Amino acid sequence: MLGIDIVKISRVKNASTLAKKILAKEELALYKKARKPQEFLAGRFAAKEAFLKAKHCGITSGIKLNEIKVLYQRSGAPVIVYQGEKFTVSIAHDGDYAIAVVSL
Amino acid sequence: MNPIVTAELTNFDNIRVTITNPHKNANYVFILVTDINHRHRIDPTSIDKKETVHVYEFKLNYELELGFEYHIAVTNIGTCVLNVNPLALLPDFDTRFYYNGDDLGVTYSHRSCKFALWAPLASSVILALDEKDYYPLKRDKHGVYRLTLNKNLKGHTYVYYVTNSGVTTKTIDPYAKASTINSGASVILDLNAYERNMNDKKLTKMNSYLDAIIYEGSVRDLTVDPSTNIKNKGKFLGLAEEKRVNKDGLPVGLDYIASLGITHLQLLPIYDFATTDEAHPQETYNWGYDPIQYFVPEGSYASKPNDPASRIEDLLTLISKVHNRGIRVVMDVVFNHVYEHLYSPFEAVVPNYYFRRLKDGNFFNASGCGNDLATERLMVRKMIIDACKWWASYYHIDGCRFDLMGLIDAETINKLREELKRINPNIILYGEGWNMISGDNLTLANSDNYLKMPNIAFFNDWYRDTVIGNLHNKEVGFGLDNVVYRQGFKEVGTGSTFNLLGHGSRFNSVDRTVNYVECHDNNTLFDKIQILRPNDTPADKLQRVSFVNSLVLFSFGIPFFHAGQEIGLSKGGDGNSYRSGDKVNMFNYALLKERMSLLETFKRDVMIRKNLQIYHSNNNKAINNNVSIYDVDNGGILLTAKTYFYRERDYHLAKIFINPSLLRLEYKENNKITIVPPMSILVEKGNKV
Repeated sequence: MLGIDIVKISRVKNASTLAKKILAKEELALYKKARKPQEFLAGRFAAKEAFLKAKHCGITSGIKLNEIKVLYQRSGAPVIVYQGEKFTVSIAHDGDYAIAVVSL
Repeated sequence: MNPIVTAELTNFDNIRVTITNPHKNANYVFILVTDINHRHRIDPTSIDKKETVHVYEFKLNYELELGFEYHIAVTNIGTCVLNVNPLALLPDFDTRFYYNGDDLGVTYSHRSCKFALWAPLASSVILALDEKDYYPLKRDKHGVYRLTLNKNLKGHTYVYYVTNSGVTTKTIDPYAKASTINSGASVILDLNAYERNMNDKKLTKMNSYLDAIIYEGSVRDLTVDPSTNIKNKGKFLGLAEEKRVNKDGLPVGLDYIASLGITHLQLLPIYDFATTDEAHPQETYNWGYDPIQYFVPEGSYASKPNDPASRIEDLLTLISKVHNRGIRVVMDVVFNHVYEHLYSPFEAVVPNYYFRRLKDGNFFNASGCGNDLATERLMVRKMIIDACKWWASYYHIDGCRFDLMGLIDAETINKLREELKRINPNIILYGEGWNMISGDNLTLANSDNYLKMPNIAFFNDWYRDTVIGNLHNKEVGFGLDNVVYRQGFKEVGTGSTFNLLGHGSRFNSVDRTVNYVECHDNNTLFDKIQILRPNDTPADKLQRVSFVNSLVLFSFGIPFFHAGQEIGLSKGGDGNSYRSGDKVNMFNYALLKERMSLLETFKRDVMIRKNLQIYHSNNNKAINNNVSIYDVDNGGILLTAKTYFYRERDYHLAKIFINPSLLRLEYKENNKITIVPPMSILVEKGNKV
């Protein structure tokens, strides 16, 4: 199963409020170190949305975005951790956009 | 079958007698014979009788004193020696016999010679001078056997005959400072006679480990290439020779090393190791991770292996010459195992003491060599510290690289550091801090325990795996153009201290990480690229080598290179060349000319690194505040740093463009375009900030 999502970075407003809402505790720690927090947040948002799409359920399905954790592997490549299980994700940024693809 | 009796002292006041194939319905009487005139009947306090074996335990109401040979006589069977060697396994053996003096080995003067050997289990120690005059030594309360001979014994050889539990073994002195060829006998020399100006004043002060750029090589590999005019090939003196060139007239050996701009030359083992035949060194090859004498230099590197002074004088000459070029010398020390432990001088002098044992009596073998040295035992720790102190004070060694440091206990490393800093405040100490299991409940000197060991640095395998790829699989790292590892590189490239990936930071300051991608072990960088990027053109493979080397130089931490890495030398895919011979291992100086551009880039980036103050800062806050990292095209990175450039008083912005890809990188900022060629790093000096 595949899921994809794209986010316009400039749409991310009130970043710190949004961050608290959609990021898990581990992600928040990474967010605080991010050089470009807005871009970081847009990428995470896209990854979480893409995950929901791959699962074939929408944002109203009851799965909270902060339960879908987008963490780093040792290589620095992202990985989605949901309920202890790992899923493949790829995130990219360019100019105004962040995009993510998830495969289940 | 006849009965067989054995007896051992299992504690200072407990004897165990074992009788195999006992007589039927036997009722034995036991006599402890302390000497021919003193016999004591002893009665068992417990008996375990099985059909084929009886075990009798005797709890004495006194302790047996060591330093004597005891026998047990059993009626109807005979006598046997009481084996006292098990006592060395007891924890309190250390506290009872610990000896703190600094006179183990030989104390020489023109008028007298003092011998001292720690052998607490022994009943007798005989000195054999030149294998023709024999002198018994006298025991003191620490189990140190001593003898003073009031003669000038310069040049004489000696060995000891040590008797432990009835077994007499001939052995060299584990504290010997000089030796005949192939570790045959220890030698008495007037060591003061060889001392010379070691040129310590030519060395600039080190503010921290971050001033070091370490270059690892072997005496033999660096000098043995037949195409150079080095006279003493494969020898200490060969590496000390100056004005030596290859066929193209380019400098080789010491001149070459000095031209690189590196600050520390780390030599593969130079202590006396076993597996190279010192009489015919060209016929055997070995790196030397098989120590036999910890206080003596290796004989195959001596210009005259038959002259015991030669290896000492030659090594002093080498270190003095290296110092003269402003370069410090680090020695590779192997205190995790020895060559053939069962026949080592340690086992001969104090059986059961020097090696770690499992509860079932087996040897620990985390080193993979059959024995792990019991570094935590007080006299082993003392030996390690004494040996390093000897190298630092007599040979003016400037650092130690600990092989499998993770098998040495942290307390030994800490005590060692304190002692060595007293001799040389600029000493650098680092090692392989792999997390391995050895010993019971020991705090070992692995990198996970770094907080317990101030001022010790560690080879960083995370760095290696992130930059070129995992050692054990075909994963490609950031430095070989894999953007997946870009985020990982941001972490290891800034000193493995900032926890950018959320896995916890490896270290708390950047002076703890030795950043490396190639060392004597495993594939060379070039060979790794052959495996991971087989479809590259030969020129691109070399360009990748050059790029990765620059990447190591522009990473935060202590940069480390293996000889030949700077020009992409290959070992033909041999990933474990410890005895693969000169052809595989030697520094091929004939390639210098065609690899000139790699060499020039390397030297240039060494200079730039030295000149950027930020790379010498050990202040995490300063690094965090002054360094920024941005993703750029081609999977690249722009690292900016507010830093002093050498001797300037204003901060400028250093822009370091890192382009790992096969394509050139164009970076636009304020109408200015910066072009970074493929697989290269470009450093720009920006505005005052």
